[in-house]
Amino acid sequence: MLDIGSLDEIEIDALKELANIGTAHAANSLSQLMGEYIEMSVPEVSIVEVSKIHEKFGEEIVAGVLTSLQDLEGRHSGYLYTIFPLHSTKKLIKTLCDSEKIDDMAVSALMEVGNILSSSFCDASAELLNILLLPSPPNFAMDMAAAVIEAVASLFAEKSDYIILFETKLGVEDDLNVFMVLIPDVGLFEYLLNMLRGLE
Amino acid sequence: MSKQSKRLVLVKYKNIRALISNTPGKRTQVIACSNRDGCTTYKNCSDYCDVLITANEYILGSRKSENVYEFLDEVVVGIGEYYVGENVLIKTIGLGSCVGVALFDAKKRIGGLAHVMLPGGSDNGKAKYADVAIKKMLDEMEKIGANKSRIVAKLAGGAQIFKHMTLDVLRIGERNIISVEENLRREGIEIMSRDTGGGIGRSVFFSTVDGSFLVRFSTGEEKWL
Repeated sequence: MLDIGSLDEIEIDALKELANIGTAHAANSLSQLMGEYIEMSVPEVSIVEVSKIHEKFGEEIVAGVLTSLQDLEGRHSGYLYTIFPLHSTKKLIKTLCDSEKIDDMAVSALMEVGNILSSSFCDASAELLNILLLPSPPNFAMDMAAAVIEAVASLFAEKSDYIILFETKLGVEDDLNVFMVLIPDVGLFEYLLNMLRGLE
Repeated sequence: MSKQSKRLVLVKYKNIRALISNTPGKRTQVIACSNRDGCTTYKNCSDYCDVLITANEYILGSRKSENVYEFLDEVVVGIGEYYVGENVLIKTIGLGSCVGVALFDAKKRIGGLAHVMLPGGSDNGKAKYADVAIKKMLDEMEKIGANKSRIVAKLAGGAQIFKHMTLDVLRIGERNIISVEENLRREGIEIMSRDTGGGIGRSVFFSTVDGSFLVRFSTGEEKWL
């Protein structure tokens, strides 16, 4: 079995490229949604051990959107969890809904942003890696990031101890942080890795 | 622990329990207090609060108190890990579908806390499984002097974070709770108190000086078990 913790620099670079294409797509769609030019920074990619998640996120309450990913044959699957830290959530809602209250309207707007980000990720993986992944409708959760990731990661925990974390900033002043967490099952991860290696 | 570093105490005052930390040169901080609802000054924890006065008197060394217990250390347990020790505050954050299992021998004041991720057991000896975590904790506790017949348990966690998810696999929280219960029953360990299920994340602080088990919900609400 491949060990997700032992990715070398080239493989991390390939993941970064994947995320980069994804964010470019997302920036486009988000610009349309928000009615202003949105820039997205080149994402940082890191592989995080599940037992160390709390060091990354702490106890902060975050808004998050979870979609499950599935290929057509149902052989590979995974989850994509988009996290908006509290200060980013407030700014996003302010831009989109003109209020700072996290009400139904705001939740639905955040879900749409999460949906755009995860669809963009799927676009990117189709474009770069030829992997066709279909995202499920988004699910919203407002909770500790660690609690959400742990709940999802435990689905694959029998075989995998790692998650892939993308961090990007969006907005004109780079002031909105967004994290995307890819929690792949072993099948998807091995497939991703093989395709990434093929890129070299 | 040297005088310069952060100090952490548990204060028991009348029926109130509070976790209080002090970093030299800074204002004493109340991490959690069971009187949160009934207290009018919680938000700023006024200097007139008797609990805070008791803690400060102890920390500054002006008076010893039977009501104050000092922790030698604070340990954070990661997802799928556990820790066993004496005189420590063991903490784990972000319990979603996972279950926090605390074991305690009150006479010897030896305790342990595990962040159980998966139901059942495994041959690979990883503590993310309920079975393995509980067995390993019991072994380690007995090794440092605990007596299994006195050990009791407290639990928290096993929530279902995504309520609208139709996928059955996400009901892992429930399966975790059942598995932990079964394993404890098999080992003959009584569950003293619990806060399980529900739909929101929890953090847990477990005091091995007195067995206090604080559950803090992601909503900020606190519950002492």
